Amino acid sequence: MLLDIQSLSHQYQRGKNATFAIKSLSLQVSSGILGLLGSNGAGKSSLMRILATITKPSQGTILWQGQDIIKSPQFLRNELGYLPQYFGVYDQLSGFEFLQYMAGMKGLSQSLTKQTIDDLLNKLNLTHAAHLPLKGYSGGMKQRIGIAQALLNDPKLLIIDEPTVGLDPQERANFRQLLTELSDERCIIFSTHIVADVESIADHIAIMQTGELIQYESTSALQAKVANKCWQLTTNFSELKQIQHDFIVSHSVRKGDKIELSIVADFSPDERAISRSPTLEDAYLYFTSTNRTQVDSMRAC
Amino acid sequence: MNSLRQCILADFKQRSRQQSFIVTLLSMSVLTLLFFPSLESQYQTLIINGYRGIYNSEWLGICLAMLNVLFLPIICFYLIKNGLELDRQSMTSELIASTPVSKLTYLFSKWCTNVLILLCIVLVMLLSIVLIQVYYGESYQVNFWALVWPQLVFVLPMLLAVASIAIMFESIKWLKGGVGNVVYFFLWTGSIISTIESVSGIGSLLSQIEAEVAERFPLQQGSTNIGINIVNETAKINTFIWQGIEPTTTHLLGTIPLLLLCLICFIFTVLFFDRFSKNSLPESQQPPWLMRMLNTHVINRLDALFVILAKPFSFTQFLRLELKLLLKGHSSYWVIGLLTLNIIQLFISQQLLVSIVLPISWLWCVLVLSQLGQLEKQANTVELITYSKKSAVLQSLASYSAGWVLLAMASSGSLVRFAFMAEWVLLIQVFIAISFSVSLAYFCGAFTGTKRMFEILYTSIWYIGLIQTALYLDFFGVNSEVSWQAGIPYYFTAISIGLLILTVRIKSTR
Repeated sequence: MLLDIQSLSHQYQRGKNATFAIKSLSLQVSSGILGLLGSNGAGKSSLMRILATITKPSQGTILWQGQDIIKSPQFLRNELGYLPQYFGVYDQLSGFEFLQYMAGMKGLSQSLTKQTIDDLLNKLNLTHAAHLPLKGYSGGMKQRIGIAQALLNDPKLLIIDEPTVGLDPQERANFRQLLTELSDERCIIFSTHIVADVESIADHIAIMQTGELIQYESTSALQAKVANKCWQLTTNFSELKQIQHDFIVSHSVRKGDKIELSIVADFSPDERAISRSPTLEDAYLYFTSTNRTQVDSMRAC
Repeated sequence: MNSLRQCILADFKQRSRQQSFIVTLLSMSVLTLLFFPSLESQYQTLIINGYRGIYNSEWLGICLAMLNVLFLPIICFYLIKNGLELDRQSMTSELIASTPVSKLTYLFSKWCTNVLILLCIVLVMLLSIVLIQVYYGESYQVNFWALVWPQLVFVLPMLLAVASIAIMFESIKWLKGGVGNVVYFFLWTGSIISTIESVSGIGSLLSQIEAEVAERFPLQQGSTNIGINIVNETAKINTFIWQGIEPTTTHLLGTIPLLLLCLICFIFTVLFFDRFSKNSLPESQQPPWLMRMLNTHVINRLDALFVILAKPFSFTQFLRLELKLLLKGHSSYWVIGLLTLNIIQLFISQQLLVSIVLPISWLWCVLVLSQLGQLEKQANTVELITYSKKSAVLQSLASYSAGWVLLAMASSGSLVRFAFMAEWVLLIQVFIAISFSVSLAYFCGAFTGTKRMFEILYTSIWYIGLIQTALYLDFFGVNSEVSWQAGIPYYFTAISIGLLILTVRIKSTR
């Protein structure tokens, strides 16, 4: 086990009241990719900033290879790669110069820096723009520079927050490929809204809601949990609104004058519904949707 | 070591590649050229007992050091007080915070970059005075040591201290914004006198030259002046050859207080710097009870009244929203201070009101007013506003009027009092002062896209014009009669209109 988070809490003071961004979160992470899912405000970014040693939590401990990183953040910083959701660059510098700067900040030796940067620029398809000022880069190119800086020191722990924002489909596929290659010897924590981004590459999935960890399983185990709760129903448009109100609809496809719905529910939503195989998105929606409690209680009545 | 090197390099490249850096260097060069006028010029800058030295390297080197010691602390502070802010605003701070770089290394690199930038400025000024010496040709013998040593002994320690003070201001929460800009301005005005009087600093040097001139030309009875002096046509400026002096141990020892100041400020910087840990976390705090009470009983009711008053016209509706935008998010103490100043305006003697309280009430609004013209750029709403159906001219006029209403509210005690006492001239003067202040704020904001230019410029004009009552910068007319006789109110009215038209044009073009 590389990363051990024990009873982690973080709260903000709002007047006299304390608001929890993270509440008693415990998690053990070993090498491989951990997909961190959760809606806006679930506490993902707060957790990321704490793990990246930027923010100190209110309570709890975080051990990295047995060392408490809240007390000694430097121990982790030497082995950390971090790509925040929102970050900036020095736009007057070229991509190469900026990476040189970040390499310096990460303590890379001069001799190693050039080769590492060249390799990363090549891997991320940025060699052609290496010596152009960053102010001329597109959003996707800047995002790739962000990814490159995170990988500069060959990190043992890679924390990436919404990394695929701004990337086109081809770049997203390349990025997933790159992460898979990197995941063998290190621990990658990948936070995203886009479930499809982690579905194919994550070994484990953690789902957060209002600051709490509500699920932590391997991807297949999480999908198995909703195996008998996934339904497919072809229906008329007139019924759509009611179904959407009563059930969790994870997907819909228009088929002529009808519509094919993928539904997640504890019971068959309709006699016409047929069982189907679950996806990670089904599991995510099932565990995070407030609709579920509504439907459950409706059925119970 | 590589961390420090890369950090300094990148920071220096980022800051020096900006267009504003080139503009600054050129401006400093022009300022240097202007500081050394020819003998036939309408003004002179350093006259001792009616004499000035010929433009040889010795004289130019010392004069440049005097110019730098007096003016670089104020110019350079504002120029470099953005090292940490640059990382915060660009959000590069998020990346930096997670790297193993230590606080000390990072801050030291920022300090080094500040010093490098300041050295570039001094270097450009030095090159400019070489040009001046060759151009005027009063002496063609360029002695580089004589040009450089005064900068090393008198200017460099001061630059090291300014670099350290700037970074310290950026590290302390309440000093990093506009408050810090205003506080530093007053620190600077306070320090000029002490600098001149300082035994080991430039003051002692000036006394030394004065003594030498008095000894060599005992009959001459002229005045001694540093700064811009308009030359009387009948008064002839004489020149003499000054052989210069060599740096002494006393001069070197004189640098110790500044070096200590530099060190102390740097230690404070390291202590106060939060390593960007509070960068993007939401810090929502409930306002204090007094503010909640003010909100419920005064501000909300006033706003309801404004809603009714603003209803008939789209312009007034827009004006109300602009005013609300301008006033949102300011400290409750600011509101309480404004109310207190208004109450004082009603009861204090007219002399004190005109010379102190009313100017203070306007200065009280400087940090709010400085938002004019650049708020949309800071809030990144330029594109959202651009496609709104309100025309750019209407938007500009609404913003301008919101600023005007704000200052009118800040002066409301005086306005009521002058109206009751039928002091119509004073009333007109207040209107002119408000119009000028708002036009300047709006122009500076729209032109630079930052708050800083207005905060510095306005505070300077305010201090020299209103407090020191320098006639040509007194936009209010503290000495009412003299001001009207010289036609100053007309000039400021014209400047206000000109600035407003220019700003509307800038806004419309963008």
